Amino acid sequence: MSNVNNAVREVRRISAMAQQDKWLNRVHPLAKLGVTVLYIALAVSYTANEGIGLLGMSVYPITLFVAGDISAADSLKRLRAVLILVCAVGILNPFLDTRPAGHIGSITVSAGVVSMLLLAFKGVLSVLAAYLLMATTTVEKLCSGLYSLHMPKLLVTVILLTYRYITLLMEEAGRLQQAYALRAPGQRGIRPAAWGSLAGSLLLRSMDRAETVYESMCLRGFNGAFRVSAGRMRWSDLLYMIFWAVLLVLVRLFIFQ
Amino acid sequence: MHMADALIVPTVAGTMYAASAAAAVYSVKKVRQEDDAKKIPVMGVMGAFVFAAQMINFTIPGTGSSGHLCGGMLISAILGPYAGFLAMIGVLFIQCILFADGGLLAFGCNVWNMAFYGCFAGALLIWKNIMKNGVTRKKIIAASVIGCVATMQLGAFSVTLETLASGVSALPFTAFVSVMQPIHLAIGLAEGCITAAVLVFVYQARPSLLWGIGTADEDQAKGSKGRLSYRSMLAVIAAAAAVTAGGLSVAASSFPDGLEWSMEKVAGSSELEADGGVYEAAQQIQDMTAVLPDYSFKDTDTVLGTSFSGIAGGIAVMGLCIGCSCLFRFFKRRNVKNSH
Amino acid sequence: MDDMYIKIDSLSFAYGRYEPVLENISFCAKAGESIGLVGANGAGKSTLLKLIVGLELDYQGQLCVAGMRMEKKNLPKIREKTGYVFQDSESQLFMPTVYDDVAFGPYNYGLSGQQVQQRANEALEQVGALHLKDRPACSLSGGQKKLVSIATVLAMQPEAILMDEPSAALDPGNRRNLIRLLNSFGQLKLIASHDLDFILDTCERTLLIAGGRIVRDGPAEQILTDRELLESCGLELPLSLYGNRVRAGQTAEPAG
Repeated sequence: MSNVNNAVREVRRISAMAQQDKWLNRVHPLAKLGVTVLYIALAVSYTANEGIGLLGMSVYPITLFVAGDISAADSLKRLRAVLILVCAVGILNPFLDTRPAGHIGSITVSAGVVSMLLLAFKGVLSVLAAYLLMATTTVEKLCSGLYSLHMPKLLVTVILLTYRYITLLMEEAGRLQQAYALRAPGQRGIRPAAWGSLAGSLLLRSMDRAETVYESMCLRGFNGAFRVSAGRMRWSDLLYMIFWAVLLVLVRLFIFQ
Repeated sequence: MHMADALIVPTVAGTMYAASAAAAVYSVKKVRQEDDAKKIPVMGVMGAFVFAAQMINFTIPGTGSSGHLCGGMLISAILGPYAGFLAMIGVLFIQCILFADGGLLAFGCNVWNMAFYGCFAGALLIWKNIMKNGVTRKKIIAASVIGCVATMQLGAFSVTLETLASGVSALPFTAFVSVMQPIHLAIGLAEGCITAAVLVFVYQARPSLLWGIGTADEDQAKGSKGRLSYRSMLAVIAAAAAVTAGGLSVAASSFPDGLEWSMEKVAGSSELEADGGVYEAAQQIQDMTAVLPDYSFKDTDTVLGTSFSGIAGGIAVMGLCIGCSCLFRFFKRRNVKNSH
Repeated sequence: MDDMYIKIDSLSFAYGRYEPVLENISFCAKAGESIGLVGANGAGKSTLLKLIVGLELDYQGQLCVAGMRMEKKNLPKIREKTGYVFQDSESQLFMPTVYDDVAFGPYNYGLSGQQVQQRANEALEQVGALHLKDRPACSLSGGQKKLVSIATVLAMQPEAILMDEPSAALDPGNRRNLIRLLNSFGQLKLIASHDLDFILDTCERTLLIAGGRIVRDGPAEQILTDRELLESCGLELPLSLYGNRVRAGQTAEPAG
């Protein structure tokens, strides 16, 4: 029942963290996004027989956690969901692929085990990288960055509005669910009889809210899209991007091959 | 159903990004054509609604488990396929960057698997078709259930294809499909029932909110034009599916690392050399400069060699981490000094 | 009569084919006046305000604002001069940060970057919320949200400010703050509320609305102390007029 409220708290926490005025938060959103995407792309491109090289890729998250003063403990919670998914896909690999791939001491390790571990490690690294991005970059900065990459203004406006109203509507959903639970002790979820009316009334209320939002936009001269502007890229942002791009590509190509 | 970054390779990700981006551009064009400024706040707030509604637990009677709303079908039954698709992109984007649900690289896949099918196939092929001659309660239920099941099946099938094309699972295609499809049949049915319940409620409380009811008269006025666009839409979706499937397989084969492994199983040979000058050149430089050349999990490696190179590599990574951290610390201090 | 900012003559309005919400409303408002619209829930206060900013155009009768007839082609000009503060601040604050929100109106009305900045800063300064500038709207308290949503309207430098239940959901401290703030404004104010104490503290003139009609129009002190009249319209005397007697459990009687 409390997963809605937990989610609200989580959104607030992440948003507050992204708003801090630390050096990593000040780096241009596009520089961080570019590095993150490059990093994930490089990390997931490792294949089973160069698997151990993936260890080298951990240089990026470790450095940023340390140098960026970001608590790694919070990020670990994120890993759970991804690890479950990744393991569900990879869990059968050890059984299906039993070719020997190497030895640790006197134990033979099968290729399936290697590929499963590789998959799990890729999952960890990609989530950590995404977490580092979202812990240091606000949604609006990211959106304005994407806008300067020619993402349609309409889409940017819709994303910003959704972001603005998620906590509000999640809180409302949480209240509805609580109100239901208080009068239906012992039930774990919403009974089918109330499915339509509970979610439906939330929908109608959301529509009403959209109506007032629209009115309030009109009264202040809304003309179809928000104004968004990303700050200029500074030399230091460019340097940040180049530094990581070069380092990560070098690590990908040369370490542990 | 959120794809994770770890499950795909960059080429598959790129292909799916391209496919989703094409659908998004088309939708933006369509929504702009409608020229209804009111639709924008409605899209934004409805996106937030889907986000919130996804977190409500609905008890599935007789099973003890709970179902959730995914929202693609629901949102396009209210906003129509194009606006619904864009709103769903917003939802997935925020999930991706606030909750790390589905990765940044897999975002294109997620948009395709969860939003494209739900909005385009669900709304244009199923909802619109069933509601052609007026809306009734039964039709809403039928359209919701069929729509959710069908779009969920398509989505699950895409997940299977994307994962297999990336070569991360040793499962053969048939096994993967026979696991994925039935699970998502159940999920789709549950979602269909929830969607139906919500839409029926909306239909009774405020029918004008449903997509197609307000515009039904317009469509009839347009006459054959409406049918034509429907048929062309079918063609567009079929073409898109074909292009995506083709693109995926081309992507997979042009990137042998991913499929190498499954090919190996099929062909029984491990000799699928990556050709291309870049790879060869990289290989040569690697051989010359790698920390410990020829390091790999091979039977011929001695135990000593394996552990030695492992330790050496570990030290190298640690050294790199410390070096980078110090570097950034230095810059940070300078930055702070400058700003004071 | 030409110095009248709002001129309304035998105005009626209904949502679609439903029962009329407003019937035969007539009143005028001068620039700089402060007018309270009081009435029970569903009396038509909010609808009247929405008509004055042109959120509903399907009315009958005469409605002129700032010397212009209320019709679609005049809307941008009327809205530039007439600010509306929604009851629910959440709907009013839709931009990512407080500053973006306050700058939204001036920007859309085509002011230059520098002017927009100046207007936004002045408006935030005026309501004492300049320090909240970079905060996202969702992190504000209820009182702060109200102040900021007033700033979004002030940034347009309106000649009239319309408010729907401004004191709802405010704690006593924030409420007092708001009263002080409103009393410092020189613009025409039209405040709809059933918080009669609030109206008594902020408005000189009061329109009492019941069942979609104006029942009485006159000085606030006069209408808001008329117990019989208020009770016949589903309202009660402002608490401040009861003195301490309500707490003592005695029969309530006006102190003044």
